[in-house]
Parts: sequence; C-alpha cells; structure tokens
Amino acid sequence: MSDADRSGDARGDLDLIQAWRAGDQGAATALVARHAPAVARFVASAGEHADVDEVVQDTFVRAFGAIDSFRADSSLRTWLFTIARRLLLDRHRAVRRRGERVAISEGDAATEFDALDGMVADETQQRLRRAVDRLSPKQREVFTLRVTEGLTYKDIADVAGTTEGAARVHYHNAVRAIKEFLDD
Amino acid sequence: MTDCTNADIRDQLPDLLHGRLDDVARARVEAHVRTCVDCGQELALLQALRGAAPAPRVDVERIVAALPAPRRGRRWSASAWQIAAAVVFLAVGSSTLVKYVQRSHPGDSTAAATVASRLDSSAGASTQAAATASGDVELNVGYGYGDLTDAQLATLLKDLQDLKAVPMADPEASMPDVTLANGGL
Repeated sequence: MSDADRSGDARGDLDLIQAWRAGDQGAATALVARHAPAVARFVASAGEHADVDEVVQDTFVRAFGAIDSFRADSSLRTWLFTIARRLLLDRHRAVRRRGERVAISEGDAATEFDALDGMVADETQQRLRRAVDRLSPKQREVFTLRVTEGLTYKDIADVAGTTEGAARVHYHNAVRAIKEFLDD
Repeated sequence: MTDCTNADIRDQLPDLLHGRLDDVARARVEAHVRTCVDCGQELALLQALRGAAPAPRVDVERIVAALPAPRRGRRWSASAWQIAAAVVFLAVGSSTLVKYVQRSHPGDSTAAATVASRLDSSAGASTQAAATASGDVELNVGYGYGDLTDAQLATLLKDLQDLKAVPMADPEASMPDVTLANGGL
C-alpha cells in the first residue's frame, strides 16, 4: 500500500503542505495519517514504548510549527524522523539529568516490549523482535530505518547524524548479528 | 545462514523489499536472488523482520487537533524587512566610516574624500537595486560595497589599513603654541 493510499489522499506531501498553509485542515489530517505510523514505529524501535503517542504528537507539532524551514531536498518523512530523533535525545538527556534509568540501553527494549506485546505476537515474531532488540542502539536505529522504513543510506545518515559509509557498516553488522542470534 | 559475497546486491535487498528500484535494477537483483540461496534467504529474513516490527497505534485526530495554525504571508514580510535592514545597515555603516576618517584627520580632507569617493563610485547600483526591490526607486540614503570588484576592495582595504597606521590625533597639529616670556617652553 502506498503512502497516498494509506492517507486516503492522492496528493503529494508538498501539495498537502501548501493546502494546509492555505487553510485546508484536511490536508494536515492526510499528512499525519500518512506519516504518523512510520514515526511511531521509529520511536518504538528506539525503546520509547511508554510515551510513543506523546513523542509522535510532539514531532508533528514541532514540524508543522517550523514547516517554513522544511526543504524539499529530503523527504518529509526523513525530516520527521530527524525531529523525532532529536526529541528522543532530549528526553533521554532529561532522564539522565534526573538520575533515572534510560530504557534505550541494549537488551532493555526487548524485555519491556515483549512483556506488553507477547500476548498478540506469535513465537516466531517474538524471536525476530528479540533479535532486533538485542542490537546496539545505533545498529537497531539504522536497521529499522533501512529495512522497516526503506530509507536510503543517505537519508539514514541525515537522520542519524552519521555518514553513508558508517550507516552501511552498521546495517551489515546488524544483519550479521541477527543471523547469528537466529542460528543459535 | 551465510552471507553472499555480492555486497552490491545485498545492499539493494531492502530497496527491492520496498519496491524502490527502477526496472533495470529490479530485474538485475531479482535475477540474482533467483539463483543465489544466501540472498534468497536473506530477502525472506528481511521481509519477516519488517513484518514483525512493532506497529504502535496512533491517534491521528488527537495529533491534528494539537497542531499549530498555519502562518500566512510571513515570507513576503520577512523579505521586505531584510531589504530595509540591509539598506539601513549600508547607510549607517558608510556614514560612520566617513565620519571616522574625518575625525581622525581633521586637517586632512583628502583621506575622507578618498574613502567617500571610493564608496560613492560603487554605491549607485547596489543602493538603487535595494531601493527598487523595496518599491521606492527614489530612495537613496547611503553607500554600499556590494558591487566593488576584488581589486577595488583590496585597494579600499589597503587605504583603511594605511589610515589605521596614523595616530588618532596629531599632537603637533592640535597643540596650542605656548611661548614663555623667557623664550623657553
């Protein structure tokens, strides 16, 4: 299913942004419906399970508030991922300042998410998720953007603040680690 | 599960998964996958991992309700202010420079005239362009440097550096003549 089909609106992102600027609230609904699920998946993959809704909403509020600074040289979704990632980093820094435990460390995400979703996911899916959740945070971030969201290495580098070469290395290391985990 | 040695093909498996390859690339990757057991298994694994990714529910209406209202007409306004600010900056900056030179050389009108003439010779085009852009072609409030060539800028900079080498005030020129009755100082 394409992005346009998913949002129920065949217009492109830039057309929808222009329509929203002109006062078309339906255009905003279409943009959110089109991209919010992907942003939510990305946020959840970073280990932020408890406040996914809040982070996703903050991402869109920030994005629409600064829509004049959006440049079409990257896709809107890539830009949204970048904003979401900054919000996540801010939240983790705030947690560290308060001396609380940060849930994004390796292995934590698997335990916490499986406890919530274990009832609905079958054994194979749980095993696959566990393989991804055991990756290092950077490997998991790159792997999610590449495989789940289909971003190019260039876009991944923009979102994750790294280089295309480093993103490629993280991706292949992630695939190798997943294979090793599943082979055991 | 082993890795295929064709890194180029493996790099494109996620793109094949998302249907983001052009016809030529897709045909090439698919042909390889049909004959390569490792890549076939890896593609199946990636597909399964994509399907197993968590899919949190989102409340679209709640997010839309929280969005700020669009701002209209902001770009044109900002552009006009930028033009106005540039004109004021050039006018104030140039006037200040000429006054500074005049004060530094109260008895020497040549230095100030030199700087002013260099500024003046290049001011017309840039100031007029700014005035035209702001919609007032008769506005002419100062000088600009935007149209100076590299050579002109270098000459102007040298002039300014030479001026800096001169003391702020010439004590001999400004000191009153005091002669004591006995002829000494």
